[in-house]
Amino acid sequence: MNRFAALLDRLENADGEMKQRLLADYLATTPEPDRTIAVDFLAARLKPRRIALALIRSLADARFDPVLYALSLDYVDDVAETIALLWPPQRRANRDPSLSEVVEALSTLGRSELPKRIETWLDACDASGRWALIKLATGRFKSPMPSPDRPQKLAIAQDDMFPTTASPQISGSIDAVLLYVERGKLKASPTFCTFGLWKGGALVPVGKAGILPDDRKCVDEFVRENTIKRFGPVSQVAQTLVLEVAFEDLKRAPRRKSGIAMRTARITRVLREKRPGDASTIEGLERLLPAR
Amino acid sequence: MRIADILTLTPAGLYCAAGDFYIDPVRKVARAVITHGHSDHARRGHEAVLATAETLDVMAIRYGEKFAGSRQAARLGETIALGDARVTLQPAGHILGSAQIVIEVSGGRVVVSGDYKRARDPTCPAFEPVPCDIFITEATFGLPIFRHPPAELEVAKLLRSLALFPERAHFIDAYSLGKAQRLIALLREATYHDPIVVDPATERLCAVYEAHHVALGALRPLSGQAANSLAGKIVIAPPSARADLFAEVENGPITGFASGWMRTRKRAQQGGGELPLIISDHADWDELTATAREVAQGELWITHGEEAALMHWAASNGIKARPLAIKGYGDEENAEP
Repeated sequence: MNRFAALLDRLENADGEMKQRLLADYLATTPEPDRTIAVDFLAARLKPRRIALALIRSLADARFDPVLYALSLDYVDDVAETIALLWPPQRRANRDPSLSEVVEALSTLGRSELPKRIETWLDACDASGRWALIKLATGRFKSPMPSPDRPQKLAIAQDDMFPTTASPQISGSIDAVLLYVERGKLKASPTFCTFGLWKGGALVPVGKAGILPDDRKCVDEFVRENTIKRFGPVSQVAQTLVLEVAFEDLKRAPRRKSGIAMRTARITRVLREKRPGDASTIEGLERLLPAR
Repeated sequence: MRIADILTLTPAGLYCAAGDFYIDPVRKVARAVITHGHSDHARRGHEAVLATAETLDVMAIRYGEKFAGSRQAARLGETIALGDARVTLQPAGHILGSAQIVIEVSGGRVVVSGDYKRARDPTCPAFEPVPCDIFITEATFGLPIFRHPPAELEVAKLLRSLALFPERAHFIDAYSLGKAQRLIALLREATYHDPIVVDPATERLCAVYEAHHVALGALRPLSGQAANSLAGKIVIAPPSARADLFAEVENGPITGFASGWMRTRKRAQQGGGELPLIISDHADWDELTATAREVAQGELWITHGEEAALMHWAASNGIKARPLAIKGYGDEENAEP
């Protein structure tokens, strides 16, 4: 897994011609059946039986300090990557699993055996290997290769191992209060804004959205004058700026403080004339969810 | 005097009243003790400066010979009396000449780490742990997600890329003081002996390293090189140096950024080029916490960086900690690539 993950790392940052040569080099030095499996993964032909990210979160929860996990997730902004980076290295771990071992185990092991096996693998992989493993096993893997022309399905099994609560996509918009701002490393990078809604007299974070440099002057000005505390690149601001946030997907997420996961959110307007008390509540957002 | 009063935080930086000196002051002061040559710690214009000979040489190269009114070189391990304080510089393992400042006043001992690391570095002596009442640490990479891989593995990544793309120059952005020389030394250890091309700022600082007996092998200046002549070469230079050079060339360079920030995918994609290398001269999370456990017998003070997580860790481990949030530190490593 570590070697395949190292290839993915390089492909992620490579241009077209480089990608071909990196892949050729990997294939020339990798035995079957891993070679075929790697190509199938990169061609998005292979979709092994998926496990829920929540299962891996629960493995992680048993090992991580919750505050350190929260601070890390806030910085990394991706659950799989946060777990991959936080997972403590094991001195006496087994060798890392091969791609074929992973694919085979995902399709054959039962629900009771799988968590233990995944934990063993996480112990055995390096940080890149853990990231690739989590992305592959949870069906979150996006191939860094341009899609080939043979859409032949080699799926070993398509159905979810652990049923997730599927819900239809809900889109809409809501007024929220700006809580944290994270500046990108480059001038051209988006600024990420974490915003919150009211719940029982306090503002609870519900989502995060990027603003591009052209649109962020107003937010930048606000941040300059209203930063309360800084955590590295993240500024905590006074809870006074109201934003109009549009989103394309809303799901129940019991593990989050807000109970809701908002995806593909974007900031559509900065509402300087509104006061924080005008922002919506979590209950208001919950009403947009379909009934259980 | 209470141990907590040996050093006080002032707008100019940490001040020792018993010895009447500042450590790495961010403003011009009468007497400064400097941990290392990075520009956020070593500023010009102080009346008197005490530092290692290596750090003084770095400051002279960067700021000119008149960077301070007067200067005093301290040998590592040598104790110097400043007023009522006894000051000893001990290796910090960060870059050439980097030192922790050990201050002893009436039986109490405070150690200012400056920037430091515990990972191996062939260009400077290893960090020397000194047990103390108050340990003042940096926290540039003070989040548990930052666990730097061995730099040797990252260097192997660079050499593998060079073997796979021999027709392309490999332009690595590595900070001109410290990172560049460590990268060069690690390449030499990995038996890479071809000339390495460097930009003028890096070249001047490499000369300081050579003068202090750190062998870096054959170096070539970047100025005057045509893009075609750089095929298959390793070039250590900032991104600004390559923009014009490769405007009209078919085989553009493979670019990379050598930094601890390359640990996260977002940062690697934003500024790491095609070959982000996770190489840092700062302590990672495991080093920060292991060092605090090893030396901080009383309190842990945190100068700058990601202090929230380290504060929480200290509280959970029964170590009394205090954030100093010194403004003006950390700008050099954090600079835009």
